Order: sequence, then C-alpha cells, then structure tokens
Amino acid sequence: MKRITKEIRKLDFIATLIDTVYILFAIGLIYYLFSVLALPNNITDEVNTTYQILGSTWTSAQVNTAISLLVGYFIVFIPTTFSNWKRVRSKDVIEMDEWTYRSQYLYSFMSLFLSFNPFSAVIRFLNATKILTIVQGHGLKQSLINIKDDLLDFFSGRTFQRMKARRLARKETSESQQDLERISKQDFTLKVLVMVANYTFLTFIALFIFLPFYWMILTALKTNTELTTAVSPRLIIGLSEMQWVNFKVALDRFDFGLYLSNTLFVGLASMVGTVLTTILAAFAFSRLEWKGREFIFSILLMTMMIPGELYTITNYITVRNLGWYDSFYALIFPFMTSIFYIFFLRQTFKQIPDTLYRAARVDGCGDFKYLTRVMIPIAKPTITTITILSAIGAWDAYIWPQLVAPSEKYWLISVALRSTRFTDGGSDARPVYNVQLAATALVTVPLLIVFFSLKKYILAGVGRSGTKG
Amino acid sequence: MKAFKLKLQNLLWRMKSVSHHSFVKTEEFLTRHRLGFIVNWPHWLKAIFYLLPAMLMLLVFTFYPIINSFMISFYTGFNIQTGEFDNYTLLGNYIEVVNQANFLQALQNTAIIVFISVPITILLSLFIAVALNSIKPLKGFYQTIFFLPYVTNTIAIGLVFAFMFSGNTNTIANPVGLGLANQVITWFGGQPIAWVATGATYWSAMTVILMYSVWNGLAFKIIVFLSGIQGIDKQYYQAAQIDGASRAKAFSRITVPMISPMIFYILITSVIGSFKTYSSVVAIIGVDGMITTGSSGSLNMKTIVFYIYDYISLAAQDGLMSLAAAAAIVLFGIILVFTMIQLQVGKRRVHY
Repeated sequence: MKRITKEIRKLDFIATLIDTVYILFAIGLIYYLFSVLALPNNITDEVNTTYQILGSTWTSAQVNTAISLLVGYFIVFIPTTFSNWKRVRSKDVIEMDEWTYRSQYLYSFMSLFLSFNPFSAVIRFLNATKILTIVQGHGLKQSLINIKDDLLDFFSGRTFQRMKARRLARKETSESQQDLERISKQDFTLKVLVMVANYTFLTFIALFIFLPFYWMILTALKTNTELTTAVSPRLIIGLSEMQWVNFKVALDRFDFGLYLSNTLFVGLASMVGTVLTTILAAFAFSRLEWKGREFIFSILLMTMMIPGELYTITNYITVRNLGWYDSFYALIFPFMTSIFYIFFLRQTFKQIPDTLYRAARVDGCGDFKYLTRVMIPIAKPTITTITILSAIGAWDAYIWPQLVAPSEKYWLISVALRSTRFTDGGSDARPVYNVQLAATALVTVPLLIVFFSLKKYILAGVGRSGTKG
Repeated sequence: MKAFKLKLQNLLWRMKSVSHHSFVKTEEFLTRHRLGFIVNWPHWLKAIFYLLPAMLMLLVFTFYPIINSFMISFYTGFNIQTGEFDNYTLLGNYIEVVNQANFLQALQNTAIIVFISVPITILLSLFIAVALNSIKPLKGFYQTIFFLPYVTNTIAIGLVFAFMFSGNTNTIANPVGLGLANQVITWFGGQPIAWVATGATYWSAMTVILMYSVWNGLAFKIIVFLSGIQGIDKQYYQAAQIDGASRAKAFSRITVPMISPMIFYILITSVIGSFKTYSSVVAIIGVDGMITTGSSGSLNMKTIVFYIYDYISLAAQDGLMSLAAAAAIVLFGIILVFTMIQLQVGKRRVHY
C-alpha cells in the first residue's frame, strides 16, 4: 500500500511539473504577444495592422483571439495547478475516495482537450486508474461495465424500483422517524418554495455584486469608437474583438506600471513593519507581566474610537516638519503599526495556555525564543490575517497618499486612478473610458488573485475579527 | 559527503553546547552576586524593549496628534510652516465652522448617507447571511462572490460605478452610448437619467452614492453575520420546529437575538464608518465633490470629511488648519454622541 501511494505521489508530482512548464511557456507566449502589440498613435484609435509572429503573418484580430484564449487558459489552469502543488507538497495522507479519481479523470481530459497537454493527460489517466483500483477494488474495465449496467438499469426503470423499495424500508425503521417524516412531508412544498426563493434572492444579489467587475473588464476590452458611437452598450463581445492593447496603453502611456510598483513597495514595507511591531507589542501585552499593563492597553483601546481625520491634521504638519513631504517615508511610517491588530493578536496570544510557557522556561527557553518558536507558529492564522488585512489596507489607501505625496513620481494606484486625466491630449476633455477602465482592471485584478489564492485564511480571519471585536 | 555533513553537525553542536555552558556559568555567577538582572531581565524591562517600535510609532502618529489637534483648534492665524499663531480663541473656530453653509450642507449629505445606507446594508446582509446559511450546494461559490467587494480598491470600483451610471456622452440632449443603468431603464421603457453628469439632480447623484455605499459595505457584514449564525446551536431551531414556529418567527426570535452582539458591533462600526464617507464620493463625483449642472449652478455632494480635507489641502494659508481641526473635532463629537446613544440602547436590547 505504502509503495503504491508513493508511486501515485511521484506520478502526481511529474504531471504537475509538466503542467507548470506548460504554464510558464504560456506566460512567455503572452508576454511576447503583448510586447509585439502595436500601440496606437492616438489612444482613441483602433489598431488594425499585421504582425510577423514566428514566421507567419497574423492580423490584429487573430492576435487578440490568441491572447483571449491564453487568458482563458490561465483562468482555468493556474488555480488548478496551484492547488495541485499544494497537494503534492503537503505531507498529509492522500484522501482516496470516489471523488479523488473522478476529479483526476476530469483533469486528465481537461489537460488533453483544453491545454493540448498529452503528457500530463496520460500520467493523470494512469494515476486515476490506480486510485480507482484501490478505492473500488477493481480496475477500469470492471467499472466501465458497472457504468453500462447502471445506465441499463436507469433506462429500464429498475433504478426507481430500487429507490422506492429503499424508501419503504426506511419508513418502517422506527416510530419517531415516522413522526419526523410526516412533519417534514407537510412542509415539503414550503421547503421547496423557500429554497427557490433563497436561490433567486442570492443570485440577484450575486449579480448586483458581480456586475461592476464584469462591466469593468468588458468595457476595458472595447474600442473607443464603440463606446462613443454605439447607441446601446453590448453586453458580450467576441474573442477577436477584445482590445488587449488598452491594457498596454494604460501601462505605457499612463505609467501604471510605475504606480503599481510604488503601491507594491509601500504596501510591502508597511506590511512588514506592521507585522513586526504588532507581534512584539502583542507579546508584551499578553505574555510579559508588568505593572500598568492593563491600564496602558485600555488607553490604547480608547484611542480606537477617535476618527482618523484628527490624526491626519497633525500628522500632515509632522510630516512636513520632518521633511518627509512628497516622499515614500510619509507613506510608510505612519502606517507601521495599528492598535486594532495589536488587540486582535493579543486576544489570540492570550489563548495560549500558561503551562506551555512554564514548560518552555524549564527547558531553558528564553522569552524571545518562546515567541518565535511557540507563539508565532500557534498564532499563524491570525498573523496571516493581519498580513492580508494590512496589505488590503495599503492597496486601498487614498486620503493620506494624495495629501502628502502629490507628485506623480510617488503616486499610489488610487491617487493615480483619480488624478490621471485619461484624455487623448486633444481638445476633447472627455476621458477615454476604455483605457480608464483598463487601468482600473489592472488595479483590481492583482488583489483578486491574492484573494482567490488565500480565500480560506481571509474568510476565516475576517469572520473572527468581527465576532471578537 | 555524508561523513563531512555529520562532522559539521557535530562541530556545530559542540560549539552550541560550549556557548550554552558558559552562558549558564555566567548566569549562576551573576545570580550569586545579586547581579542576575543583567542576564535575566525583569519583565518590565523586557516589555519596554518589545513595545519600543510600536510605541514609538504610536506616540508620534497617534497620541501626540490627538493632543496637538485639540490644541490647534484653539489657535487663530496658525501657520503650519513656522508653527506660530496669533492668539487663542476658545470657541471661535468651532463657531465659524458650524455657521458655514457648506458645513451644514456637508452635514446633511453625510446624515442622508448614514441614515439610509446603514439600515439597508445591515438588513440586506442579515437576510443574505440567513439565506446563505440555509443552502448547501453552491454555498462556497456565493460566499466568494459576496466577499469580492472587500478586496477591491474603493476608488477603482467607484469609477466603474460612475461609468455604469453615466455612459460616455450621457447628456439628455445627446443620449448616445448609454451607460448600463440607463440601458436597463430604457429596456423597461423609461427615459434615460443624467445620474451624475451635467443635468443631474441632488437625489439622482445621491442614489448612485448610496448604491455604491451599500455595494461596498455588504461584504464584511455578510461574513461576520454568517460566522455568527453558523455558531448558533442547531437544537434551538429543532425545538422551534417541533413547537410549530414559523420560519419568520424562528428568524426574529432565535437568529436575531442570538447574533445580536454581532449586529450591534456592526451597527456601531458601520455608523462610524459612514460618518467618515469620503473615498466613494471622490470616486463617483470627483475630487472637488461638486457637480456642475449647466450654467445655472452646481450640486454640492461633499461629506464632512470632504469639508475637512478641503481645509487641509489649503493648509498653507494661515488659520485654516485650525478650522480643519475644529471640524474634525465636531465630527468626533457627533460620532461620540451617536455611539453613546447606541451603547445605551444596546444595553437593553443586546443579549450577550
């Protein structure tokens, strides 16, 4: 058994490696396609030229289609490969149930038909067959025969007879069970109605929530001509009509590359600072025992009520006096710590039992070592949440950056989005909306990717931060 | 290779043990001579070092500003470059702020946002959380979608909202290139509205702002309510079902009281947050917070925070920083009063 799992793991690893190579290749390809995309002379123009790619002539529409297909490929395969890597690298026992081999089969077909990747398709197919043999106790051939039998049963009506017999058998189990069933039968129709109402309601809200994202991407991929002349906006556009060059215009002409890297730098710096200061302070407030600890902590909590504008007024003067006006220092240092995060982490640290600390002390473990070796690993989910929340905060910051760093060199994305005039430079003062929304999408998508890859931590952490506070 | 590795490990281990041994010896020696605090720091000394980075930041950027901003609000003719001021005034700046028509307009705008968007958001997110909790398939999918607004840039999606509600050349005279909202209106046979462009009315612009506030606020509240509802013991509902209670009754008598601490927390934080609305208005209306409605005049959609920042951006002029500080303290006072009222009401209504 152990040998077989080892083999499966190895095959899984090889297939995932091949997938990764494919994805890296696709990334290279999309980068190449973007680099050859011709920029329009005027940002309102539509590009319609031919490109020499790999010795053949491609039209603009063909290049657009290729990029659209590649982006679709990324949307499907990068998350799956990511989760595959997680599974391969984890030391846990592989769960082997019916869904494991089913998903492996599905993935093998997807590799073959969607990404033209026969190598990993074959390996995953073999893998799935192996898991099938372990789970079901028989091979692929037998299960195909079983499926055939099931289908025959279904069409000849034998399945329904069996279900009916099972239901009758269940009915006779016990009296209380019967009572319950009678009650549930009474409001069965009500249940269905409520279910339908629930799903309709949720779907409407989901549409309301999702619509801005869809509209943003859709508009960013339209041509300016369409936006200015079409009487009613189209709700769907074809793959070959997607104007990916708009993103390049936003990055090149309007310097959004610089703003993104500014935001990344400021966000990372303040995130590291926040996490370090928060961990140290939360340790001092939870583990160390000193006079006045609770008093100082309650003063800290009291300041959480005061609106940020009150700080901003003096901080603006402070930053000017320190000579940090219009520099990255002004953006990073005021956000290097947060009382809310200290409070949040302290609550987690407090739950770690004291006995652990005493045991560590007996073993000759110092305070700092105890913090790094015991407390941080235990509080890792909370620390991850703090990290993510502070990153989101930095990504969303608008008020302070536009106040203290007004020159374009130090713009963060929010400021850039609001302050850039997305005009074509002519007399027409209207913004070129497709480029503006392309820049908006460039700002929104990275955080969404982070969210999707760390969904578990974020959802749990935010829920907890609400229930505790 | 393996032997070398072993040797290296051995050496490292030896070094470690020697250093540890000498450390223990010194410690013993020092303790014997009552100098133990040099190696074994007392907790308060350690705490100072652990708190140093955070406290330094907090002192400069949190505690000092609170005191200083209060001080500034009592100065007249304060110059931020030199730090000089003419004189003190007790309430002069406050009176000047409160008497300005702009401030009253800002107060009205903010109050409308708070009293309409907060109840709608809380009720809606409560219903969504209950609905989400009662379904099983697709639950994760819906949960993910509902959470999306939390991880976006306020300005970015605000621009998208503004675009959805305005279209490209969306004037009444020339309704070419409708925005999505106007498109939907025309589907139902209505006339396109100039939501936030030239020709907008106060309530059309306010509707867009309110919609965006609701959209933006839902995510966090849904997640918090959902995690609260999931913590309720199933037995209560089973007991209610056996007693023949309807769903509506179960919702109002079990769900709401059980998560009332969370509702209360969300209520307080979102009222505070709505009083401080700024970025969403900037994204939808513009940096100056005004909509020009033709030649006749303009609509003022500024919130209180807007009003404060208008002063800060003109801070180079003498005295204006004091007005900003006074306005900020007035905002703080309003928030404090509302929070106190809610706490008083909450004492009687919330079951912990």
